[in-house]
Amino acid sequence: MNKKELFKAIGYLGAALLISGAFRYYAFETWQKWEKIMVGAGGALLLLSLIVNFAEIKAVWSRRSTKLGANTVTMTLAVIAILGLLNFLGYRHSKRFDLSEEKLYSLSDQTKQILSNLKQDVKIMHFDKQDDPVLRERVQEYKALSRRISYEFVDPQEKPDVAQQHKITSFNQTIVVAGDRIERTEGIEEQDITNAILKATRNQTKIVYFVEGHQEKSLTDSSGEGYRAIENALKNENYEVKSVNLVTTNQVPSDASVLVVAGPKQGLFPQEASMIAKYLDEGGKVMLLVDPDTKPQLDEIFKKWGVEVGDDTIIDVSGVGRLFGTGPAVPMVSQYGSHQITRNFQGTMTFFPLARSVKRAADAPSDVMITELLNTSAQSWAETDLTLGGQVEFTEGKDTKGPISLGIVADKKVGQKQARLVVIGDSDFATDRYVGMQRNGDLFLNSINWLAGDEDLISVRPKEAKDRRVTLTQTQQNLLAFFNYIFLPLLVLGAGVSVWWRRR
Amino acid sequence: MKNIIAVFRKELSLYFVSPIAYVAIGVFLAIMGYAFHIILTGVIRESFEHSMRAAQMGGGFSSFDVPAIVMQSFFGFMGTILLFVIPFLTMGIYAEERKRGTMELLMTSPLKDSHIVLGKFLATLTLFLIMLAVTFLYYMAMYIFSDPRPPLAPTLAGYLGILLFGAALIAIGHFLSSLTENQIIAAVLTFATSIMLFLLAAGVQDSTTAFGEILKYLSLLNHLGDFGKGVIDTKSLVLYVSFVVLGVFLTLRSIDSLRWRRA
Repeated sequence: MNKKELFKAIGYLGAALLISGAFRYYAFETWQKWEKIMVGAGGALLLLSLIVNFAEIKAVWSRRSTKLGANTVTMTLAVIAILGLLNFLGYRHSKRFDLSEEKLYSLSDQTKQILSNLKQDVKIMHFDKQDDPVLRERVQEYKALSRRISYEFVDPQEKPDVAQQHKITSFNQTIVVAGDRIERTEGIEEQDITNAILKATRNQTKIVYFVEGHQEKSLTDSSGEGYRAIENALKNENYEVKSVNLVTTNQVPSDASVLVVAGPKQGLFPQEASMIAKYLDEGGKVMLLVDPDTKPQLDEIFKKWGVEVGDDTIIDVSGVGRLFGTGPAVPMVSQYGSHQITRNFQGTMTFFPLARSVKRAADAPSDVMITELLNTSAQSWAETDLTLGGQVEFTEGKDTKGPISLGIVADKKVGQKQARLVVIGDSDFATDRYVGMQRNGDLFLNSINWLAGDEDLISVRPKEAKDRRVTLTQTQQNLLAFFNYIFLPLLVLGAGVSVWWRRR
Repeated sequence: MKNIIAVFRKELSLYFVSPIAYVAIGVFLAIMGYAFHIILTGVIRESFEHSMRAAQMGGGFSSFDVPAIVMQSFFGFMGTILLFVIPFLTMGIYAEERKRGTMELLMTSPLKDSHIVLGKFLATLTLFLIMLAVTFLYYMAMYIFSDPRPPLAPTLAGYLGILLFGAALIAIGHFLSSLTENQIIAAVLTFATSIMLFLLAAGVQDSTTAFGEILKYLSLLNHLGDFGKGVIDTKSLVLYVSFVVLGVFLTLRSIDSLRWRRA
């Protein structure tokens, strides 16, 4: 190995280092220790070899072979260009074949349909301390189906400005951004991502109407008893929020996506109740929040929908509330019906200051699907005579023993549409004072999302890999280990040695 | 064709009398066998923990596919190891010929350059296939102890990916071997290229720029993940085949240049 050859190799090595350092610099867009080392060392090595072999380089220029060399270079560049073009086309029009038995890596036809109709660029963003590999892989499948999809992972601590710009307030949040619209996703399953894409790319804004005129919870009240936080949250979720006085409009506004009646202290007029009932019958979506000791006069609707609202107040003596500074009049709910609204609520709590029971009536009509959504603990009961300053205790025969249902969801098919109703026996849980407690805010927003939910949102069962277990006794393990990494390699090496021995 | 086969047979038999191939394959198998064992026992332990957690949370039953997870990790690891094993198989293929002066004999024989290049390429590829075939025994062993039995298709997809990945590396290695008379230099060059590929794969994961996307695409290792899961993406096939074509083409040009370089 002579000096020239050595320095030639050093030159190549230097060039390789230099190029990879430059690549790193472009890819990371940072100029850190590694990039400095690679570019610096690479440049130095290259320079060194050029200096040592300078005479040779000079000689090359004056040879006829240089012409032939130029020829080769041209050909090579042409081949690289052709391959580049082929790869570009291959990248643009790639197809994926999923050979896994459960088709784990294939998206549903609905998702494919939605992605092929995308008219604008959609960015899926994940905010957390670390990237989520499952989400990243899933988005890869989306990207394979549409070039309009892109993915970005952001560490909110590293880029607080980006997090703020997207109204990110906690870790582990995934959002879908289309233009200036941001949709939060519930989870990272296919249906979550696809539905968020659907919502973010839809060009109409949904309007949530709050009924006023009976001392309902107000959107402007800043005393802590109002719904200002809820209003903000709804606006962040791309809803338009309006108030409506049914007496003056004479009907539920035709552009309403959801109508909310939030804790009226006085009863509604009969014609108002009929308007709401009529709206429901035409496939409307309504949320009714009724507090204890109020008579909202909505019995017509309750009866029609098979909802029974108890004349009581729920008392909870489990003592959990004490951890959060609340008393027995604030029942805690940790048992949820299986429904989209409370899909990921298992193991979390919601609190309802002064709530009454709301349950499925015994004579509920059969065409209504009713789910009891919120159930208090067993250490609670529905108290029927709550007198101020009096002793509160469970009276056998008069009070109902817990768990008590205090909220239901109901839906009914109306021709092509679906009428949907949420009834909760409390309106205080979503006021500014309580909305931040555990999952209270999520409960309200999820309810609105479900009510406003369109029939075009997809539902796909998350795919699960088949359960396959491998069972090995210690002996089998040892045998396998011996065979795999002692016997086989030794066999090969032994063969090599015997060949070498015979040739010697 | 006949010529290609002649070159191929000669090269393959050369491999089987050179100690370097035995050592490379032996070491490769030792590492892979050990890795497979570690991965398998690790995933089995994980599957137990998974079941226990599910029981504690009361979340009911959720599934855990041990063989699939094992094979995914195994293929990923194998790709990385191959970056360091394949240079040993390719470093001598032309450099030795040039050093011993047999290159001139080959070039003056009636064989076309393309016959020589393809024959040699197929010889290394075949040796590589034999290596891979041995690792398939690990899968077979796991297959026997798995309940229910894992499907074969995803694993075959993984092997297809590894095979193409290896073919791309071999093509590059052959080209670099043809540039020099020195085996060591050829190996170092191939290592440098491999390490560059490795750095690319590690470096561009979080990049969202167009340039980053291109690098991510060009990084050979990044494509192995799909194959390991049992997903075959046509763009990965195009990329790997392109690398093979480019490597073989450059080798041809390099051999051709030997004719006039000294002029």
